[in-house]
Amino acid sequence: MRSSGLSLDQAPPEDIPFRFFLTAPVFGLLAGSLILYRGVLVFSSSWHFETIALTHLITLGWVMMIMMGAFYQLVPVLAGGQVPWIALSRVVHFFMIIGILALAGGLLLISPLLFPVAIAALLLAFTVFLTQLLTALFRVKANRPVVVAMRISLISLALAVSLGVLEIGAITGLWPPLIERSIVKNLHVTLALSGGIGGLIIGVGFHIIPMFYLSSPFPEKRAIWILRAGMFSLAAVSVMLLNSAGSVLLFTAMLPGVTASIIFTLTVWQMLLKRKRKVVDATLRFWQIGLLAFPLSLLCLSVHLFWPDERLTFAFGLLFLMGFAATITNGMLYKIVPFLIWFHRFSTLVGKVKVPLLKEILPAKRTSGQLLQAALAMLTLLPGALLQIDWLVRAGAIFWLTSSGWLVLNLIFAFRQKPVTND
Amino acid sequence: MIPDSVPGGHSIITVDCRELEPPEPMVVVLEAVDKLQKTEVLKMLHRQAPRPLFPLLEERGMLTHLDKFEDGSIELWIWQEVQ
Repeated sequence: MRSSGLSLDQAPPEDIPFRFFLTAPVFGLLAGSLILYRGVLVFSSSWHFETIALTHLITLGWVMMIMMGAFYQLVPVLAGGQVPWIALSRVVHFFMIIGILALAGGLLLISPLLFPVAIAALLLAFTVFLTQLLTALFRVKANRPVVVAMRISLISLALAVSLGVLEIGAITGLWPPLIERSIVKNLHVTLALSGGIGGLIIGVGFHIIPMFYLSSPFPEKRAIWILRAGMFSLAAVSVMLLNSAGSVLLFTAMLPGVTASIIFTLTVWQMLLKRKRKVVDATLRFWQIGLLAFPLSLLCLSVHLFWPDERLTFAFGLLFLMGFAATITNGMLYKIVPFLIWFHRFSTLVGKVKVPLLKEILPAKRTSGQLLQAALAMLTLLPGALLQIDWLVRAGAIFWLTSSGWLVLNLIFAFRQKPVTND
Repeated sequence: MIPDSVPGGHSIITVDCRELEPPEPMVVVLEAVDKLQKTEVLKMLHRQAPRPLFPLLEERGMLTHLDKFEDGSIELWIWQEVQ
């Protein structure tokens, strides 16, 4: 078979992405429970241990879990790379769970015993994951935007994890702090959110939107410009933070990246509006909510530079993590999971038996119900945190818990779809 | 234009998948492949390279040739190996 350099069956076994995808909303349930239990107190200071625990239940537990599953699945499909030592992905998943639970547990219970466990487990999980994916991506010769974006994301994650580990070690007395804590924190957040999460969502967006929504392709020159501007800002902001630069300099360094993010948002919005099939489904709405939350989060961040009110930090965190990252990854699960189920279980049966459509593997009424809960969670948590209204925050937690639980059930429903045998 | 690697003298069956949502392009192509005669070659038009399709074509013992264009769209030629 000749396929012009395309490699063949490189897709990982189906259990690998699925185990990461299914774990994400379970951590969503833990995050929701913590908000429900503590109410508005989790939104009182970004330095509080329980706030840091909540943040990591969402960033590592939800967003990173889905990102890891997506990396394993999408690198062969979108970049044409072969992920080495694929069986080790199951070890990565196991140690991620241990690491996140130990980190959140250590922060919530202020238990010094759990921090070394968190450090060891997360370091092991990320070292294996990053080695696998960086090996795969640097073997790919093509420097297409999605490949570049994935590399930016992985390198940013490597730096963010290193800084995170340095910080945990410093606050628990395992080693002395190397640099000032606020610098480490700001660098860690910048690299993890802008480079790690933003890089992957933007890169995957270049391809996924035309592929699943039948839109025009993302203009390649614009994609390259967006990535260059993003990389410039990431590097410039990091240097500014290390030098304790003032607000004006930081904002100037951020500006190309913010502009690039807005251009990405507007381009994808236009592509979705002009899609060839005018079907409106939950995944489209998840993307649209995410695309609204993304620039709003950047606005909060920019205003926060000049008006350092802690509530703006929470508005940024909620908009970026729950409104943008968790929402878009949630929407993508509803495209990727039915497709993988179809591919692994039904594609070989085409022409032999009637195979289901994607909307039969995960019906629209299931996904639209969860979408409503996710949207209500945002609409209550955001004003609740901004105006410090306890009952609104707890109501938001209930919506978030319902949304996460619903997503678990929807994923289980999809995973249970199997070909009917006639024996 | 038929690429050099594609056997000549075959009749061409064109399957246009440019406006189909995943996994419909795969379904349409695989159904067409199952009916493909030894004297026929299938030409798939698509918005992008259908990577997940390749292992399924290989499993069916098909030969392929892929042409990519600047806008990312592709022409995939599929035919049976003649013994």
